[in-house]
Amino acid sequence: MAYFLLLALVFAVSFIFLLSKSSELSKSRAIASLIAGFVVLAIGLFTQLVLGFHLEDGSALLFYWAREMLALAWFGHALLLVLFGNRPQLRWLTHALILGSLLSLTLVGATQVTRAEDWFRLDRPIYAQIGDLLATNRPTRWGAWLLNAYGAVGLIGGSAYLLILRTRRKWKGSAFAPLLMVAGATALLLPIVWPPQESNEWFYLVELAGPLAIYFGFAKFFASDSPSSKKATPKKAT
Amino acid sequence: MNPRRLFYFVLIAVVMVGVRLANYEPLGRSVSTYDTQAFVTSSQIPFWRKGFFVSDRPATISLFYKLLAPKEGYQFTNFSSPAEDQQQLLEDQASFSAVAFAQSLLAMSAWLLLAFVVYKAIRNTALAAIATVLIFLFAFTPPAAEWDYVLLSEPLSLTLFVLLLAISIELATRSKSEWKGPSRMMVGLITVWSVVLTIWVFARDTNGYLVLTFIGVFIIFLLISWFKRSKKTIPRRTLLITLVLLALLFGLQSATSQASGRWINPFFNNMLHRVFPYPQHLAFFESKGMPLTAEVLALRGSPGNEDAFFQIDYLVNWVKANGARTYIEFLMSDPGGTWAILANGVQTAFDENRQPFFIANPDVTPDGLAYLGDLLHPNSTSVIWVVAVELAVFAYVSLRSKRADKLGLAALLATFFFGELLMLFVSIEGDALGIVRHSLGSVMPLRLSLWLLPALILDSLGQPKKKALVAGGKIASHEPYKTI
Repeated sequence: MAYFLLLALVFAVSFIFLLSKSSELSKSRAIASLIAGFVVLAIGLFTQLVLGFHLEDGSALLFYWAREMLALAWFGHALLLVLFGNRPQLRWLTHALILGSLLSLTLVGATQVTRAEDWFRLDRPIYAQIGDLLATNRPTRWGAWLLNAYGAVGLIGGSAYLLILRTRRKWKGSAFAPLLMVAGATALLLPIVWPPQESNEWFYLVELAGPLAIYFGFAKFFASDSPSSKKATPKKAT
Repeated sequence: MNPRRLFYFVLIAVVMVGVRLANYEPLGRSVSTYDTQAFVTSSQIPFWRKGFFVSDRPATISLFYKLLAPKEGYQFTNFSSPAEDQQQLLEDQASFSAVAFAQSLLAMSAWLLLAFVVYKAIRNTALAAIATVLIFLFAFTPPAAEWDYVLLSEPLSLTLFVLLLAISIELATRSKSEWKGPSRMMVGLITVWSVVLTIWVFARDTNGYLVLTFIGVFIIFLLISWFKRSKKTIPRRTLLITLVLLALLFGLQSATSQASGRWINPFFNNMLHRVFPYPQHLAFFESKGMPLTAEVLALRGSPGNEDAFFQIDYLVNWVKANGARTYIEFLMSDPGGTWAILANGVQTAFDENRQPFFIANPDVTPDGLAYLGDLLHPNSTSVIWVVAVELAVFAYVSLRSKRADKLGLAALLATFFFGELLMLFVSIEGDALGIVRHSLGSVMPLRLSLWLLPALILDSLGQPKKKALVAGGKIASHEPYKTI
């Protein structure tokens, strides 16, 4: 079922184009952050497919940088921007995340790839092999943990905040939106925290579910009705 | 279509056709099989004779070989039989060059047309480009492209299917007004569709079962128009005429196929693998009067495609008179067994995705292209379920969009899906041998649907409304999002 990875890549790339068509893109840092998330996720999926064909150093490094370090962080940041976009702290966080992404690229670029041809298996998930494949130093590993923790807190915490708002009737959107975002965060985090040892159906399903849940979670959220917009709607003449 | 959009398509098409031409052996090289000999023999019967249509091989393929026959006749110089471990490299078979060249050229043209029609049907240019690239990659990776070099019925049948699908999509996405007062363009498209459908139906025996699905759909349309009595539905007379024509086509195809006796060898294969090893199954056929004499049962150890059965006159006479009906009764009498055959057969049908008739030259076709081909032509039966889910989602978003073109497309793709499943069922239950090759006509379209549908679904999701979030009593964000 390796085709699920290609299907996930097709969806991720499609989402990038759909989001970049947003007419309000210039105003929306959240959308830009979401696009950044899908770009790094697409890089992660593409390099994963390349590593399923042959062991290539550049792909291994890019996979670690894009998928293991950045994807979740950018999605989490996107939700925080949507929820608290007007706060100045978030602007600083955006700068910090951009800087962190560039710094992590430098760190990963300097990482040595072990000569692992003897035991590297093309049919085994890269998540289970990347730890031994790359001789990462402590700052790189800590950077990865920090970025993923930020992303997870952003997505899961932001979703929880949305659900609380919903129970207090301050947000009238669908509960599916935050639930899908939590599902997406879980799907993105699972293979990093518990690297799958074999390429089974569950592994591929989780890889496909991640981008779908994140995109449709955000889509559902953006499509939600606000009480203020309802008030503004004039009544139809009877 | 605006010039810039057209330019993008042309750019993608030129690059992809370049990939196709650069990574495979020269067009015109080929490999022959036992079936090629049968096509050549059938092609020698005069076209106006009834025998041409009830010969040993389907009429469309025989006609194709007849039209491209060299003056000196066909000469076999590169023969392959994977079952006998005879697998060859591709070679120039001078007399078959025209056939092989035409197969490749027609296939490329058909895929180009399908890609263009899909590109046109998708409003979002980026999504259209993604769908187009996927179609080309699907068509130009080894699991699909290598068939162009094999002298069998599959390449032409697949090409005709792609053409049929392309024209069907074009028709389904035409606006309501164009259907109501058919323009010359519409009449032309419907005529071409009818011709392609007819030629395709006579290219392989199982193809007719897609027509059966069309008939089912038109009956549903007829019932809807009967109860709804609305002017918005297609006129009842048009539906009735179409239904009658489709029924005639299916009837003619079934009758010629039955009269040809092409099904007798598969019948004996089924006997050898699905009946003779099981006493209770044997008893069923005996109770129906099948002459299971010692002479017949002596052949029960044969691996299949057994010519000796045809030497037993009383057996052949009984099979011609009662074989097909009795076998259908046998399948119906044991639903559990029929289901088990189907389940195993589906697994087998998806097990392989490359042609087995020639060894690809690794110096010409890179391994990376084969790897990509494996991803695009998955060897997993999960394809059926994933396509079913994609179709259900597409139908749902099309219904919500209330756009006639999307609804038409969803109905069309669903019809093709059920037709392909029916063809798969017939291929598997119809012959115990050669399941992979016989099922190709339904398995490849199912795999294609997998990559066609994502862009169609996302394109149908449409433009959302302006929304806002009220957080903590204040509007935290009120940017309008038109695409998400």
